[in-house]
Amino acid sequence: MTLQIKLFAVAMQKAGSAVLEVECPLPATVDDVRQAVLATCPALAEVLPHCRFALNDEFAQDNAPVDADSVVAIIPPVSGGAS
Amino acid sequence: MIHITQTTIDNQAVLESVQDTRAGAVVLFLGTTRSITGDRETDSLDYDCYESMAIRKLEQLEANARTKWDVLDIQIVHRLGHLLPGEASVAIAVSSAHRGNAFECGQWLIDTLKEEVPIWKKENWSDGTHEWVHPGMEDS
Repeated sequence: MTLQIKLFAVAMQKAGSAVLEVECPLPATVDDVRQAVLATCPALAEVLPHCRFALNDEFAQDNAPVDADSVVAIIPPVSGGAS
Repeated sequence: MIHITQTTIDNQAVLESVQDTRAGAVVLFLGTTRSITGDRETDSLDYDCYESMAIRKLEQLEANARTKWDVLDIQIVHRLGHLLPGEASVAIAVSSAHRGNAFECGQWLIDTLKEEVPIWKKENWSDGTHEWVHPGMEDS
């Protein structure tokens, strides 16, 4: 199954694209997708451990199931800033 | 209400949107573009956003805040795109019968927004370099 993964900010910069196509057999979990992303795009290795994943516009745990119609996004730490 | 905009935030409109004759307090927070961070100077900032998720998370923030504090109204406006120093990137207004709730709620909203809402900023430094700001991965 080819997943289209949305990338933002530093993840987009490192990958050089706003969308990353990743081959990942289903059924899969978020962690499986994370490994597939690393295999597909080594340029993300440095930043991926700091990123969360989102499924269908909601943060997802590593063991969450990814479906064929899931909207998958990589969410780098948001802009934060000292209070 | 929550709102994402590409244009200048109208502070007065944000304040008026939460006005209520039952209010004894209206608190307005503006997050503004800072020109100096440490010893570096910022020329401008660019904000990127995962818009569908950001809207969902902002709506959840407002709903959660209303369960935590007895407030009358909440308005959150986040600006995207290219901002110059001094311009506001985010405005949060809260009205309540008494000031304690409005202050506490406003503080919680901005603190939580900056952890949970997928909006990112890129510093365009005065030395010509650019850098996405991601807490916890500054060296990446």
